[in-house]
Amino acid sequence: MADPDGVLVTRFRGGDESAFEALVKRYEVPLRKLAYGYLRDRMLAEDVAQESFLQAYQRLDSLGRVEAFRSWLYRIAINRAHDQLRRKARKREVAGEEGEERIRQMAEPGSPEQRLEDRDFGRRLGVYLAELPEKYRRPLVLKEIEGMTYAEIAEVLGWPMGTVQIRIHRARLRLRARAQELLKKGAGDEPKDE
Amino acid sequence: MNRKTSDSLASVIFDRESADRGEETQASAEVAKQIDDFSQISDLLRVPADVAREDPFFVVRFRQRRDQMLASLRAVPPWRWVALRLIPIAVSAVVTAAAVLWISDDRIDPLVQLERLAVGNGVDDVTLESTEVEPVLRIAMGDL
Repeated sequence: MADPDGVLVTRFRGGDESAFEALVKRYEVPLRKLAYGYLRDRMLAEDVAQESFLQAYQRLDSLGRVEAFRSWLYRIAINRAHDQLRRKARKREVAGEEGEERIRQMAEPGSPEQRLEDRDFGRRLGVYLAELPEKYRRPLVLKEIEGMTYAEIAEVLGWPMGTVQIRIHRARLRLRARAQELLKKGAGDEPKDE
Repeated sequence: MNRKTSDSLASVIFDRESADRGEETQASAEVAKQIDDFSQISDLLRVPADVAREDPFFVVRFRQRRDQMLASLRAVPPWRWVALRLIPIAVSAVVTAAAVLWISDDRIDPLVQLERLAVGNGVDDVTLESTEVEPVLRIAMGDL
């Protein structure tokens, strides 16, 4: 069976604009999720996903193997999200997180207190995820947010599978250590920059 | 089991990436605890449902942004297009010229320094002294 991405890319290269829109529809959710995994911010995640598609639209001619479209697109999105994260860290942008919190609380079941506690913990864990070194964050986001296999992550990042495996594990151990610190300190303190 | 797998056994089992199903049952209490913690972390990192939901207007917004991008590309007049491409060439020409001047200055400097060393107090004095020297040639011509 022909690779659907490859077919759509070939059609687009042949001048069929609707083929690229089909690719957008196909990867809209994965890219938004991926960007959200990095940024924990809906607006920025949407922006990163849109910009990634625009970049792909402009540079699709530079893609060698059409079958590699997915990995290529993910790499664009990861780089965009990474740039956005750096900008965010530089500006110390925290705007939006409170609003994010309220939206999440409204969208989820459970007692308001429990939801607040869980979400606060989750938000802080998200901050720790953003603080992880890039070599740990990239594979963990692809695993946790995209649900990719080690082999798929290895293909996207261009790393050996053993490296992917060990870095995901180390990323989790680091997050686990931070979560344990957080539990010890109690939910009252804000996470501090290292 | 290779070393990498044993180092990251909890993750391999948690991610269901282990080829050896027996590993799960043989996992130590520490590994079992890690798996439990990873599961909780994974739950907390889960993307909210609305982020993971398809947005029917996403492609519409993409179309708008794409059209804006294409329009802005088309709006650039040809002279500006050429100018934008000439700027790097102009900058590199200026840099090259500056480098050439700097290098040529460097070549002169040792000569000036040698001259200063030979005369003692610098070029100005040499000029002054040279004007005070008796014009030997003119006197000689007068004698003729």
